[in-house]
Amino acid sequence: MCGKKQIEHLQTLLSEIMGATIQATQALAGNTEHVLSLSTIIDEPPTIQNIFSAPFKTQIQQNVAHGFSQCHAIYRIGVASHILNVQKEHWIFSSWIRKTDKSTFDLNQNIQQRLDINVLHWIDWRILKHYGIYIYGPHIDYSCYAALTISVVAPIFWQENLVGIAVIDLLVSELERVIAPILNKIQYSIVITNEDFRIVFSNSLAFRTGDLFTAKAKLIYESHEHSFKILVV
Amino acid sequence: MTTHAVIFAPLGQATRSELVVERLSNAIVTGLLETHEQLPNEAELAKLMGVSHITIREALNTLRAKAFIYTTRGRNGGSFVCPLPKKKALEDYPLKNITLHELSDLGEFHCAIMKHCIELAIKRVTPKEVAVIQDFIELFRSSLTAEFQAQADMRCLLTIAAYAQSPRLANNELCIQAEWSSLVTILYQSSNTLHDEMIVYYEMILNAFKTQDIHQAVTQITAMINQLTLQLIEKKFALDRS
Repeated sequence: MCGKKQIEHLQTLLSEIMGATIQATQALAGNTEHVLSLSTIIDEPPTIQNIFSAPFKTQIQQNVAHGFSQCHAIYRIGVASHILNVQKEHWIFSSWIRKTDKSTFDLNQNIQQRLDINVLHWIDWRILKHYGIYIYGPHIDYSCYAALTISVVAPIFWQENLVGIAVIDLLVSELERVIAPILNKIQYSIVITNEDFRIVFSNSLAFRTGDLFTAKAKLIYESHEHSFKILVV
Repeated sequence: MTTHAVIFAPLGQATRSELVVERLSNAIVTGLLETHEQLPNEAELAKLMGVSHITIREALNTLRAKAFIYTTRGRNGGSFVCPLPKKKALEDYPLKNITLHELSDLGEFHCAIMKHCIELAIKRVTPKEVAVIQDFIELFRSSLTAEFQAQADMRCLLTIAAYAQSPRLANNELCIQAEWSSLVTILYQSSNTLHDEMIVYYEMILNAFKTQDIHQAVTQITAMINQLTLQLIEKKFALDRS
């Protein structure tokens, strides 16, 4: 089959990118849990703010830098946590955003005092509690950055309670720069979708990113590690 | 968060400190920014709204001088929203700063954006996403104060825009809401029936999502935005003649 090599290349690439992103998200969640265990006072609720105090900040920044180095499509790395000890329930959310020069990143703490968690309806607490990490998207998170994004979400536990999340966001537009050159070498119609069959990439004019794929096609690849499927139309 | 994403969204190209003042004072007057709520710091505001530090500093000085915000120093210091006397809220009515033509134009643009958003969203939503829309409509229904009603209304529209899967459309809706939300809050504050009327529209929109009826969805969202625009125009008209 003409294009077999390219399809194998696509599979490897998707596995590598998503695998590295999943690992980086897990590492950030794990490190945050470690900081919480070291820095939280007994009988006090944990606060993710602790990761910004010395000496933990350097350790977390190293985590973040490593995460960004995994893939150019990673746009944002962040942690969110529930605040229990205030009258009004609220969440804090701190994230590092990749700068446009792509080599450095900025800590963006502007939204940490005012996160309405209802807006982040894509956070699935049931999956986080019972299954751990998951991938969501592509989706548009208008509350943070209105771009088509794929989010990798990992739980942060403290004393067996789910107290927050670590998130890494990949930009679909940046992923396309890596995927498209390989996709375009394949001579027949290929569609890459997420688990809901939402089209993420295609080499055919007939299929648009964002649409739900409903045409007859042959599924040639799906992975248990990530949600991408490759279909031949 | 939705409210803040909207209030602090990037300004247009004609960026000046007056625009920042107008956006923030409208949000304060209508209660979208709560009394004693802390604003992001200068650097963060500059980044969020896409303007220079100097512009933000100038705007914050104006807001401070007009007693919209106060500033404290120290570890937990920053700029906070002042409690606003009722008289001041009326004096700085966001409707005073917009012309009839601008109101009408904003309504037309909002309609155009949301019509295409809902058309795409109907085609592109999954059953799980329809359930999210239903939850947000339920939150809107159960909102008791005008501020919460306006915020929940804004969240429903932004969610529909996000489900269109078009970042440009979602960004445009975010920018429209930066102007629209303060204005609509005034309507919810002054009408006892508007909330119920909007619930009826949202129920029909939800039904259109469930039955994938694009025509019905476009018709209802157009009628809903047109009704709000008309009420804003009527209110502005009455205000100018009072």
